[in-house]
Amino acid sequence: MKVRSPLLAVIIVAVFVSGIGLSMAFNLWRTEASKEPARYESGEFAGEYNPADIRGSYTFGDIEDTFGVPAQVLGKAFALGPDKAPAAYQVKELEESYGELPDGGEIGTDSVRLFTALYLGLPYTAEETTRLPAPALDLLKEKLAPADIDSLRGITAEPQDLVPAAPEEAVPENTEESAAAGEVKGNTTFGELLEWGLTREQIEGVLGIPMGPRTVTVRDYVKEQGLEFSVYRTALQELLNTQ
Amino acid sequence: MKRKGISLRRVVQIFFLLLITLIAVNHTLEERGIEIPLVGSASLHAVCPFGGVVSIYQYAAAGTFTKKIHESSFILMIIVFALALAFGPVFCGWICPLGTVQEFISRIGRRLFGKRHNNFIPRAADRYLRYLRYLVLGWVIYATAVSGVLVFADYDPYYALFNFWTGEVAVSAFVILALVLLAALFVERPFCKYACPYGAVLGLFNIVRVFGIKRNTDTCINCRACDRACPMNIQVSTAGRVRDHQCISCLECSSETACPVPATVELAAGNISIKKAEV
Repeated sequence: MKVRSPLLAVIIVAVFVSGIGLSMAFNLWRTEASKEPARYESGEFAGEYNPADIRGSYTFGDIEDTFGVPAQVLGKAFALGPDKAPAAYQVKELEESYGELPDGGEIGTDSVRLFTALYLGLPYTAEETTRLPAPALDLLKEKLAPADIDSLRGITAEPQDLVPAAPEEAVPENTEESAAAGEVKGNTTFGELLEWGLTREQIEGVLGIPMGPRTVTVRDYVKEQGLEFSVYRTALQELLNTQ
Repeated sequence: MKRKGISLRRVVQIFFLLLITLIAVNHTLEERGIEIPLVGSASLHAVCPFGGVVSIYQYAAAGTFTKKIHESSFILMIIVFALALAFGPVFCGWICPLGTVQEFISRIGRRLFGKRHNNFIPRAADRYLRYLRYLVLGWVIYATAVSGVLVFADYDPYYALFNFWTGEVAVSAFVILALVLLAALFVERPFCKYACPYGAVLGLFNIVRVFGIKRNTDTCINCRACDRACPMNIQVSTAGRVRDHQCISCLECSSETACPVPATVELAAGNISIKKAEV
């Protein structure tokens, strides 16, 4: 049996199209992380979500949804600036915000894993270069024994080492009042719109449908409803600009 | 060369090149709230079948994917493996956008150097250099399994080519991309021949593929047109069936393209029978 190039071309394209199509039909085609972390497989905490599987693409809102650590708490622990909405803040942004610390340590994804584990009393071994911001240690004082807090001081980055504003200034008491209006992008969540000052009624007035969950991006939500994101993006941006 | 005008293979290559380019661009635009209609916006990692290969160990050991790799990479890996089992590394010869870009550059090289193009490296050295890609493959799989991250991304010219505008590409990947494109002026598909870890994996399917490149020795006139046409420098004229690990199933050697005798070099399963009238 021989195969000539026209037939081979058809087979190649057909196998790709049908393979991807079938996997989509069976809901197996995923190009993004499921945002459901792996669980401990054994031991005392078997079956619980494992902070070691927190990824840079997770938002603090995702961590709230899966681990139950409030996004606001994470926002305070990592001293987010007033222009950041904790629920929509991606873990990987920390590395860009803080950069490398003077002692060679880093505040990044592994810091969030460590903080989450300590906050929930779960076992986790952090990397040697992992650091926690000072506000995180303050929050953990309520959760850990004094001896444990003392042992964490060695990996705590002091306020003067942190690139963002000092924690006292950076952690807003009421983010809804102090958050500045931002730019509506593809990754903007409903939570961000609320924190930028829009009300649920205003958002629903623009969309014409009930608002989605706080951690869901507006783009994904309207797309699911079969609507054109660019139209609503413009209208929401205009609404924000008039605030 | 028999063929005039653009080949069907080139059409398929350009289709996948455009598709990957649009997906990569769309992924960036999505961040700004703009989308190209009807084009997916997945990350380049999510639509790379090699991501599935490097994730096999972690998936088997922990049931999770390597960071930035998702189910889509596994599905693409299975599709490409199925095609390779049947027809050999058609992914390399017909789909891979980096292979396509290297071929485009090599067209310039052919004009500059004529017959010397693709023959600069002495055959004795070249023969061994071809196994370098298995060292790269071994290192990539080991390093990925140990670290749990896509270590090859920092050296991957394919990633650099389709992400150069994002600011996420390591300098090392840019340097390797530049070297690959420069080398393509002198050698056909230099990255595929000497360094591509995915090509190394797919090349192994040449040993077991169902449809192989077969030469009918009864009708072959030993003109060696097939040898000259092969971008991977395989000596088709000395083989009954090509099992070389570097074959990319491009069919450039076949009777459809280079071979002047009908039905002499073909992609076939079983024995190729020749009707005397066709010869």
